[in-house]
Amino acid sequence: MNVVVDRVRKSYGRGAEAREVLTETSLTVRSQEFVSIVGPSGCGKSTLLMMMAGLLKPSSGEIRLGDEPVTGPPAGLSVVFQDYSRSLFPWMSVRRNLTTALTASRLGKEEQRSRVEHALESVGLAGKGEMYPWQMSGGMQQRVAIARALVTEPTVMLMDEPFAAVDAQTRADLEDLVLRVRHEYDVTVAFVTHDIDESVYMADRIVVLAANPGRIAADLTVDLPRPRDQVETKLDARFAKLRSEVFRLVMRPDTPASA
Amino acid sequence: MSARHASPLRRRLAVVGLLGLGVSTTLAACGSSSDDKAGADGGTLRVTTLGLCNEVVYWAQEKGLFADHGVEVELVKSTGGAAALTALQSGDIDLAFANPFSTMLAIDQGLDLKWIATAYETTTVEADAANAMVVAKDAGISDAAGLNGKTIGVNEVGGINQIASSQWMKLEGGDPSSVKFVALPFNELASAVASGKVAAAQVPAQNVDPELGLVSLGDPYVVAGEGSSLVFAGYVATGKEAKAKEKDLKAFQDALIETNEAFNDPANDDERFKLASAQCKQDPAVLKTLPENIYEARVDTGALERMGEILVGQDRLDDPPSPDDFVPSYVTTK
Amino acid sequence: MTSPTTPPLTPPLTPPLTPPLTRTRPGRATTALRRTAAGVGNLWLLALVLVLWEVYGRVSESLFVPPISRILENFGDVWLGGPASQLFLSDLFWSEVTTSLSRFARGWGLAVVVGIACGVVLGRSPVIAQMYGPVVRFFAAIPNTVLLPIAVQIFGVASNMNVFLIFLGSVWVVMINTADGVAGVDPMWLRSARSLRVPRWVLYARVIVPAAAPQILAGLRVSLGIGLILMVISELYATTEGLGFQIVVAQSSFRYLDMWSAFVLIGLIGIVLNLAFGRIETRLLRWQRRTGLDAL
Repeated sequence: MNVVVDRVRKSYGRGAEAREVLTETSLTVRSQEFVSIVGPSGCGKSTLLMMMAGLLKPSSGEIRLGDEPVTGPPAGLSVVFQDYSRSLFPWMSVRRNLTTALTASRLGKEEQRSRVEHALESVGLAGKGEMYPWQMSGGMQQRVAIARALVTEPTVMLMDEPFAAVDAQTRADLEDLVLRVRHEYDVTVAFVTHDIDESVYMADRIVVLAANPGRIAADLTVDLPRPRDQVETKLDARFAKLRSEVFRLVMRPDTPASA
Repeated sequence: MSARHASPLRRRLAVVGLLGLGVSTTLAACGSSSDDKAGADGGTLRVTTLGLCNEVVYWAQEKGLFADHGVEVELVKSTGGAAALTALQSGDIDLAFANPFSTMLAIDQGLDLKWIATAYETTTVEADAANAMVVAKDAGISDAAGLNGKTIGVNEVGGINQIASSQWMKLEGGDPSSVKFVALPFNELASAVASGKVAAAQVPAQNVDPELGLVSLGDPYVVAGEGSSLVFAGYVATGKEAKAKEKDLKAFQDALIETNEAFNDPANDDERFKLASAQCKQDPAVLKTLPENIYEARVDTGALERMGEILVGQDRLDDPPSPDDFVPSYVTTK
Repeated sequence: MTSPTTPPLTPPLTPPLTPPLTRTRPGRATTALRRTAAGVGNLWLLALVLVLWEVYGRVSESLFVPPISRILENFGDVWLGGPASQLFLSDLFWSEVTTSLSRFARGWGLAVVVGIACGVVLGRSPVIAQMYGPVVRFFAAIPNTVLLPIAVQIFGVASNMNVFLIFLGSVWVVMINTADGVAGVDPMWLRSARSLRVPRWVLYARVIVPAAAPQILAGLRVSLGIGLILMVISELYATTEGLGFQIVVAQSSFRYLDMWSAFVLIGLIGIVLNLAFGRIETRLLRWQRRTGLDAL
């Protein structure tokens, strides 16, 4: 299912104090695509993602999931937030966090159980259903968040800087994890990040946003081979080229592109 | 708590402990040094009274009878008998208006109290009833036995009215141990019976309001007296005070005796009702019709003994204090 | 708005080159013993107070403040001494204390249910909170003893009067604390729940109320104390049995030892209830302290 951002704008305040966070933007995330959304602070990338998630209302324009307009959090769409300690529910066990995600659907106990087991296995936390988030490291908690996003078997998964609060080594593991489960569950992914390397490594396509005002600056295709590898892919010359192009667009937007 | 962390904490706690010791010893000192309010001759006596409407004392004040006998009296409002007796201990008051039952129970428990003068005695025949065991007319209760297993309202749990009511039940063929007594304010007792909250209540006779559908089963004190008067209320002082202020207390009783002579003379009725109504804020015409307890200031030691026996009969005491011990020799008896 | 990186709690990916240094740790028995000794050691201030009391009681020979030893002796006579089948508690205990505690349980239990329910509504709806907030705070400010005559008027001389008073005195604290707790739930959790599209009852039962639990439990703890006090006060008047009633009976016959024993019993009940509550609270709120530390 496509996610269509149709001439969406977002501003806060009225009249003279109006602050436009995102100018009129259009974007289509095609079915089963992995799109990275990257940009400097204040470019409105998280705002855009929240609107796609149905958690924020655009000031004008429309977001559609397939053919249906998004007016609130839609079915078939999951979100992974950056701060796992404030998105996972610490008073619930891991298992219960996951089954809570399933309360919206009307699945039987057996079906729920098998989905939970499958999701936990996919993120490498098999058998840890009875633990509590606060008993786990940051990396493990973010895996739980990903599992919770996957347990509903969504068509679209939105991720808002999910690895910003995690150390570099864990981040590498989690990046590969996301790529694996995306394959396994066959989800369309929109992935917001401020890490330039990450944006290139993960994606099929990179949408670069600029700030002041927030707008799409570039839409780059990533033709690196899959499956990606932390060592091999990053040795590829095309990776370096893409990486520097994105770096330029984000960090030095006023300099011209290199030949 | 390791030794390293304990030192400043321990020091702090030791200071607190010393402070506590200091406070408690000061309290002990304060507690005992309470009764040096005497001083000048013709001293002042602080006397408590229920509800401040004490016509006898007002008459004695108005007519200068206290001054004649060389004492001054100040009335202080208080609640029930037991509370007044406790207040005596702190030295705030000199004489507590109390009943003999509470007084004897307190003496039995170790309080040092002396009975200085009587205020009222109870009547002996139903025609003169000043109190009543009131029930609702249509409650179907016609005698003491009808109250078995029911709830009776009194103004104070364990007070004189409860003791008298239990005695009344026993003598009239009821079973007081089956009854539950409950405390309610005086002015709510009658309406509590009328509204069915309690089956009966022990109230002053004037509260038996026929318009509320209330009727009296009899005066418990008349029955409990078995033909003789009981001591209803009087004035109590601590043993220490009874010795230190002998002159003032004797003067107090003498003034009361004189007042009661005037009260018992019908020629003074109009005047005393007028005086009472001014102080007690009640219509003198109404006051005239109200039943009254007997005004008596001399102390009936025989009655006190009989009341002690009542307490024994109700298992409230094993060995009642003897009036010889708690009525000072300088008090006028009858 | 980036959060700092958390230090890794998982073991490093490569095994360490040298084996870690082993430290000798005290055995579990020793640790337990040490902890008990520390706990008992903390009671030394209480012991000091008791000693002072005993000394003062004996020295002053005051009837109103008897020495602790005599109070405890009386306590044993009055409240203990039953057979083992009665848990060694006396008949008086079983007749009076169970009556009082039953009233407390009903009144406080009702206050908890009503308080949390209304508190959730007040916390979630700013409009309703504005409308009813002043009313709630007005009633919360009324001293409970003032309500006694009203309670008697409505319920007469029956246990419901006590239950009513206990309820009315305890419910406001629960309500206000619940409302505050619910209103202060981390909006990130609410956003999470929203994105999961949980049904409304799941939102309240699994997210909002547990998230507000620290504040709710704080309110419950305070109301526990208030409820106990009211249990006793409501029995000082217009009651025919119970612990407060026993105090009045003792007072009217000047049995101060009995009175003090009753006070000691009430204090013990309070301590036990508080301890039990503290246990439950710790268990329910394990997540709170850990989450706080983890977020550093």
